Amino acid sequence: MANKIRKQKIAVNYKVKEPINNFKIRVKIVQQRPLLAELLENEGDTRDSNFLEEEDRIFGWQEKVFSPFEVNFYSEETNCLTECQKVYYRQIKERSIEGSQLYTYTQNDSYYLGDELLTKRYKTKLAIKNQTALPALQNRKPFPERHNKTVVDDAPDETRIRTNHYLYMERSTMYVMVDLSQQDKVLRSTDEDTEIVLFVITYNGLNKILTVDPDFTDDHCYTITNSSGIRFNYWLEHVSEKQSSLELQQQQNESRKEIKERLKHRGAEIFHSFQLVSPNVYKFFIKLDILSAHDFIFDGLSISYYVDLPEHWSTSQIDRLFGRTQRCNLKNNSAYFSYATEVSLDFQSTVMLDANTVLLSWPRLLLSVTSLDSWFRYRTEGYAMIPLPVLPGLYKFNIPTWRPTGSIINTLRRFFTGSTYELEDITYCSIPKGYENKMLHKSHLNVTSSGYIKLIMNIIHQTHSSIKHGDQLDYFQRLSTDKLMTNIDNIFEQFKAARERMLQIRNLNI
Amino acid sequence: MAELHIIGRISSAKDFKQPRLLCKWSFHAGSGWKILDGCEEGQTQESCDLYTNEPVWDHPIDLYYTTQTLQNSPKLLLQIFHRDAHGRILFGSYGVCNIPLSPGLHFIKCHTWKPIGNWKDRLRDKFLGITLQLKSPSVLVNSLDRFELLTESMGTVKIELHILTRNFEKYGCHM
Repeated sequence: MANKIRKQKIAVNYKVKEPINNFKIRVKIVQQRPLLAELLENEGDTRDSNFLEEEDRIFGWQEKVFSPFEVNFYSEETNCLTECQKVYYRQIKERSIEGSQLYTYTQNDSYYLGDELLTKRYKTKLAIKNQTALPALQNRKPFPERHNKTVVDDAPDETRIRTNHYLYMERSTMYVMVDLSQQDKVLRSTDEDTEIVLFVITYNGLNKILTVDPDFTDDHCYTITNSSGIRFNYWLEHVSEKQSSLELQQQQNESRKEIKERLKHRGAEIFHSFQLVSPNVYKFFIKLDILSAHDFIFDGLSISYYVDLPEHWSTSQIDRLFGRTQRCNLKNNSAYFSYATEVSLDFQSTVMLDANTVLLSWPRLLLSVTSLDSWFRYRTEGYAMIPLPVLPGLYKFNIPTWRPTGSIINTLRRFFTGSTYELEDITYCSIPKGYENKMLHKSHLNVTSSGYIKLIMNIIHQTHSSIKHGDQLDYFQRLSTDKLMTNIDNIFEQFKAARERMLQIRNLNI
Repeated sequence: MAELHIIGRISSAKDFKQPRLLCKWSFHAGSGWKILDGCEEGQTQESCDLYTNEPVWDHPIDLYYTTQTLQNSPKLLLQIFHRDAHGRILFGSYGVCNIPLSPGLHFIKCHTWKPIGNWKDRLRDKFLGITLQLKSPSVLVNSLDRFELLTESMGTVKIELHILTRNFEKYGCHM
């Protein structure tokens, strides 16, 4: 045969976007010619006309097509018991339908696939329990209600077990069958050739998944054999009509409208204002996370931080400038704090425009590590200083610390009784307050290195929204132009002075 | 108009002594912040990994905030619980971390600790597994002085967060 034959029948799932009612599938079934017939030229004679020779049909979703047996069966009113069967009866009478050899069983028909592995109908335990389980809706609570607040239920009752094990089973199925029995035989439904499943379509309405078992064919085809040993090839083709442009338009409009509505709703909830800063203030937000301290020796560690503000800087929350973590005992030479705080600083930008201020110092973060152990011995473990990062962003720091030391006696005292050398003024670990010498020297201080601190800083700048930010920090550009301005001012002053001197000289001459 | 998306996951725990862990998490933000979508709090499943001792939770976080101010930005409070050999769920440790506001992907390690008391409390902890707990854990998101509180280091929790911001630039914020 010229047709390639596909051996395996594999079910495939498809995600369905459009309404399932548009689904259409085309089935073509052709009787195979016997191998001998290849030699013959005349086509028509080689096939057994007693069986189905060739048929081609398009099926819609859940479209009922009657088999010859069904037409016979349902045309007698006494056979029709259920509502559905009565509808069939009327249909057959009104339209005088003839049975087709390709026919379908829809959701309404009580047909079940005879599973080959099972000799009788079998239902799993879960399936039986599912029937008595609570309706699916009860299982679909919003998440906060659904999540298990008491983590473990020690004695779950029957209903609870069933709700938790409920399997979502709402799907509809359609079978496309073929009648491959001999046509001259008397119609008998028991003949297994009259009911051969070509393929099964299952649609899961909740997840919109369409399962086609076996999959659509391309140029390959599937084969089936009836009990007389005659082989048939069949093809499945997806022939759903594309949505017409009008329908598509409508659908798009609807979804657009829905989205718009939702956005409107959402938009109403969003705040439409923002706390602004005054035009000449730069606001700095520092989100500080003190994570941990490592390589210290004594238990009961605690870290204090202190933000050292230079001139022209201020804050609205002075109490946030200083903070102290809880005390933590060491484990594997590390103490975990996970202390999260935030500080907001204001900088008066008018200061920058004042030509006389040249020196601008940046705020610094001072850290000190102390320990108070179980014997209430208080020790200073280390000091550290870092300037706050200038640019906005997230910064991770590993900050080494140091502590002042003295003689051996002091070291012994520190070990046994605690409380020895510490800085009188913590600002000494950066540039001491009121320090005016040209050279900063701390040579008279003996220190020894101590452990290190891990912390994370997130810096955010806020300026008045009217200030345009072409660059990330045009603040610095302004700073440099200010310097330029001061230079120009200087030149002007010098020029003025020179001119006055010239005038004086001229006056002297006269 | 300023909007903030926090998308990510609480991925795993590390360095805990106990193998079977679960985590209750909650986001806390100041009054200027309003949640538009997503769950503020939740609880991960119980996870156990005896081989690497790094139980994976992979718990999703998806939050959508709108804000009027930068102050009191969201913080994440974690409470770690563990299941002991008798099947009891016992409190393990606390951890707090700031949620970064800079847009991008952030890998955060939240270090956790548990309060410890006097020798009686420690004995009870050692033999009965009853750890001291704070009356209201939400106080931890405040940065009050906690010098009186004595604690012990526990493990770390790994968190991955994608931060998306919108319209902050309009109000002169640079993250």
